[in-house]
Order: sequence, then structure tokens, then C-alpha cells
Amino acid sequence: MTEHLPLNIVMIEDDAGHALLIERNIRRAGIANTIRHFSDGTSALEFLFHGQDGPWHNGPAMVLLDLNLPDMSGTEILQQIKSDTKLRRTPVVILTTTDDKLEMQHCYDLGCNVYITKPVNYESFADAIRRLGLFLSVIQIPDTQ
Amino acid sequence: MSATELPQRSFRAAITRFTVVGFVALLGVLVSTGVLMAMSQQQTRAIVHTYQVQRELDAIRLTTTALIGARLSNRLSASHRGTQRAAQLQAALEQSIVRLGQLTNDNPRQQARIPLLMASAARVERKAGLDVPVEAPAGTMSDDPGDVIAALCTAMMDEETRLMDARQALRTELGRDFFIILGLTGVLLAVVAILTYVTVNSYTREIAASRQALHDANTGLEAAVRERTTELMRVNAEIQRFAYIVSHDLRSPLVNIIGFTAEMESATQLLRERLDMALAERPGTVSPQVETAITRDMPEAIAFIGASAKKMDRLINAILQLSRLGRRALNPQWLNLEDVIKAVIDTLQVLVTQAGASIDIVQPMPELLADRVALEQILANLVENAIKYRHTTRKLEVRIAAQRVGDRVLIAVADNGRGIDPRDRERVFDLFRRSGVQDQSGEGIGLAHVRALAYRMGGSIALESTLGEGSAFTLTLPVHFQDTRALESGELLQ
Repeated sequence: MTEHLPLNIVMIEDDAGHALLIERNIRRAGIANTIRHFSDGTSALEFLFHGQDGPWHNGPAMVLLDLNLPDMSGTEILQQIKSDTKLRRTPVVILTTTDDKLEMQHCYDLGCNVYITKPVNYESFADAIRRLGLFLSVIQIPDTQ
Repeated sequence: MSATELPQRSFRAAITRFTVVGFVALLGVLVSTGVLMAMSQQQTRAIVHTYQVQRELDAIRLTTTALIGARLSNRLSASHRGTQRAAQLQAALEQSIVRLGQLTNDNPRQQARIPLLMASAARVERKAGLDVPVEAPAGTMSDDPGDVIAALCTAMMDEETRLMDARQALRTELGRDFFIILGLTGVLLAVVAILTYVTVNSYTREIAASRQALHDANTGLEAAVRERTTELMRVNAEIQRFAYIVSHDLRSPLVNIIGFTAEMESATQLLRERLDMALAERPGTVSPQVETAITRDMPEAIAFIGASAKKMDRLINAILQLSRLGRRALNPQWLNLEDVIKAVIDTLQVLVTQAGASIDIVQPMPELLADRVALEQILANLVENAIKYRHTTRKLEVRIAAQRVGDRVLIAVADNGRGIDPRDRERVFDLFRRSGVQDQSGEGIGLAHVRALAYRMGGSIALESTLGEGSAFTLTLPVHFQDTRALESGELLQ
């Protein structure tokens, strides 16, 4: 793993604490990619579709998405990403507290790539994020251009 | 009720009154008719009597004329036959006068004339037959007995005619009175009939109105029930959604609490290493307070925070589980209760064996249409509770019996365990509430879960227990489960 993917990580998470814990544990897994954090859906969508250094204009990215956002549901963002011709190959990892089966089904139906439930148990949580970090380091993403 | 009783009572009183008045009127008619008839009959008899008198008077007149004729012809040519005939006529005349006297013995005025008639009749014989001069009786104009008799007869006839007229008039009057009474009675009966009709009619209208009111009330009640049911369903759905949202949103900060507590714990670990180094290398530079804080206070606080957060997580999961329970679509199917119970016991076999419990399934078991998973969960919870809260010294015996009562099935799970305090008999069904010595693991979810499931299946659960002797839970379920929330569950799942 000598070569880092030129991959931006877009984290959409309304809880600052969760965001910090996620970022910290990703870093602990040795991932050095840029992480852009958005705490609401509107600004996240703005960056995804219109940001100059966002994935629509500027190359591959992967999205860590929480489902419970203050201004919209995460599934809506998922739907928009997956129905866009350019962004639909962007991997979306749902990282949420909801372990409801129907919710999960719904997300996979919409085209999410991975669904992870935030474990309340911190060791499990940290472990899951670290594994996700390892996963991110091996994942191959097509060039959106 | 008194509102409807009152018109009913007045109705009865009115009807009784009208009936009594009607009967009294009829009775009056009967009596007066009888009296009038009797009077009329009397008059008729009197009239007949008058006719008899008149007939007798005519006979006297005729006989007298005949007698005079006979005497005259005798005088011209006396014959035996003529004399005989005159004597016969004379006798007939006297008999007629006697009969007349008898007939008119109720009338003094007529009676007064009888002796004069008798005397005149006697004179006819003498005057015509023997040619003996006879003085005319006093008070008569003529001395001719024929004339006297004729005059008397005319006078008597007049008297009788006068009486006859009076009696006829009286009879006519009686007839008129009869018709007047009849007419009055008719009017009275008509009035009674009209009043009765009006009363019955208004009463009937009242009944119809009250029936309509009752119908309206019933319809209103049905509508109210429907409305309440809809409202309850909405409230229930609301609670489900609420529980779901709350549990999810409560979980989110918990992730932080637990997460950062863990971070703090590892940071404390670092501090502790530094402290140990400092204590080893430069003793005396660290104050005892700092040492206590790092070695005791901070780990203690962190441990408590962590434990509490984890407990909270379990409670939230319980709420979540209950809320999911309400959202799950039930799938009713015909179940052999015995099979279901045996399957439940099989899954709990390890616990049953460990506890050395004996479980008795009483035969026969009814069948019912219900959701298998829900029923299994209820029974598993009840049996598990029986095992968990068994008596410490007694061998556990669980008895499961079921019977069908009407359109419901009663399933009883009874044990000889430690029992439940009377004060806790309602509480144990509440979420997070437990009873007795807290020597078993658990969050107080099982029975809340059982009750929620029982309600969900259109049933209920009841508890009987004697502290120290055992408990008996009775689950009541409909034989035919109908999911009234089938339509609504779609909405709930959104």
C-alpha cells in the first residue's frame, strides 16, 4: 500500500462527536486521505454536485453518510447520488445508528455500497471504523472523468 | 328512564279514564232505554185497554139499538122467538155493561156513568116491551133510554178518546226522549272515541319519536366508537413512531458518551504511565491529590459513566424492540397449541434441564388462528420467567393448560415459584419494572413485551399469584385473530 488513492472522503454526519470519533479512528487505521466533513444535507449536496473541488467536478470520492440529518434524510442524498450519471459509481457507505431491517433494505435498494450500524459499544465502533479504513485503502474506484 | 315513564303513566291514566267514561255512558243508555221501554210498554197497554173500552162501548150501542128494534117488532107481533131474542140481547147488553164497568174501574169518571147505563138498559126493556111509563133518571135531558145510552156511550167514547190522545202523546214523547238520549250517548261515545284516538295517536307518535331518538343515539354511538377507534389507532401509531424516533435519537448521543469515555480511558492510561514514571524517577514531585485523581477518581468516574451509558443503551434497545414489535405485520395461521408449546419448551430445553424443572402440558389443547411468532414469544417469556423466578428450595413444576371458552382461548401457565407480591401485580407488566429480589439478570422487559403482544393479538393477560407459593399467568386470545391494523400497518412502516 505504497500508493494512496487520490480519493477524497466526504463525511456527512450531523453529530460533531460522531464525526470526530469516525475521523480519529479512520486516521488510526492509517488512512491519510482528505476528509471533508458536512453536518447537514444541503451543504453536502452543494459540495458533491457544485463544489469546485467536489467529486462532480474534481475526481473520485467516497461518501460516508449518516441517515439522520437535521434538514433531510440521508436516503435522499443517497438517491440523488445514485441517480446522477456522473456520481452514481461513487461508493456510498451508510454509517448510521439505525439497524432497522427495512431501512437497511431501502438503502441497498437505492444503491448504497456498504451499510454499517454504529455500534454503541465503543470498541466495536472503533474496530468497525478501523476496518472501514482498511477497506478504503484497498477499494478501487473508477475515474469519474 | 323516568322521562319515558311519565308519559307512559299519563297515557295509561287517560286510556283508563276514557274507557270508564265510555262504559258509564253505555250503562246509562242501557238503563234509560230500559226505563223508557217499560214506560212505553205501559202506555201501549193503556192504549190497548182504551181500544177494548171503545169496542165495548160500540157493542153496547149496537146491542141497545138491536134490543130496541127487537122490542118494537115484538110489540107488533109477539112471538116466542122474538121474546127469546130480546131476552138474549138484554142479557148481552147487561154483560157488556158489566165488562165495561170492570174495564173502566181505574177511571172514576167513567165508573160514575156505569150505574146510569145499567139503569137505562133496564129501562129499555120496560119502555119498549111492557110499555110501562118510567121516569127518566135525574140529570138526563131525554127520557128515552136509547138516547140516554147513546149519549152516555158518546161521552164515554169522548173520554176514552181524550185518554187515548193523552197516552199517544206521552208515548210519542217517550219515543222522542229515547232518541234524544240515544243521540246524546252517540255524541258522548264519539267524544270518548276522538279523545282516545288523539291520546293513542300522540302516544304512538311519542313512541315513534323515542324510537327514532334511540336509533339516532345508537348511530351516534357507533360513529363515536368508530371515531375513537380511529383516534386510538392514530395515537398508537404516533406512540410507535415516537418510540422509534426517540430510541434512535437517544442512541446517537450515547455513541458519543461511550466513545469519548473510551477515549478518556485510554488518555487516563497514558497519564497513569506518566505518573508511574514520575513516581519512580522523581518521587515527591507529584502531590498525593494528583495521584489520587489519576489512580482512583478518574478511572472510577470513567467506569461509572461507561456502565451507565451501556445500561442506557440496553434500555433504549428494549424500547426499540417493543416499538418494532408493534410495527411487525402479524401473520395469522391455524395453530395446534400443543405443537407451539412443545416447540417453545424445546428452545428452552437447556434452561429447563439446568433448573431440573418438570413441565406438564395438560391435554387436550384447542386450536386457534394466531400469529405463531408472537404466540411463541409470549409463551417463551412466561416459561422463562417461571424458570428464572423459581423457588430456591422447591423443585419447579410448570403446568400449561388451555381451554376454549366461547370465541376465546384461555392459556394458563402456572408455576410453584416464588410468587409475586400483590403490590407488584400490575407493575410487573410495565416496561423496566421488576418484582422481588433482584437476583436475576434482565431489564424488566419480558412481561411488558408479553402484554404488548397479547394486546396486539386482540387478547389480554392476567396474573394470579400467592407470594411464596407460585404464580399463574392467563393469556386470553381470540380463537379467530383478525388484524384490525392490517391496513394501518403499512402506514406505520413508512
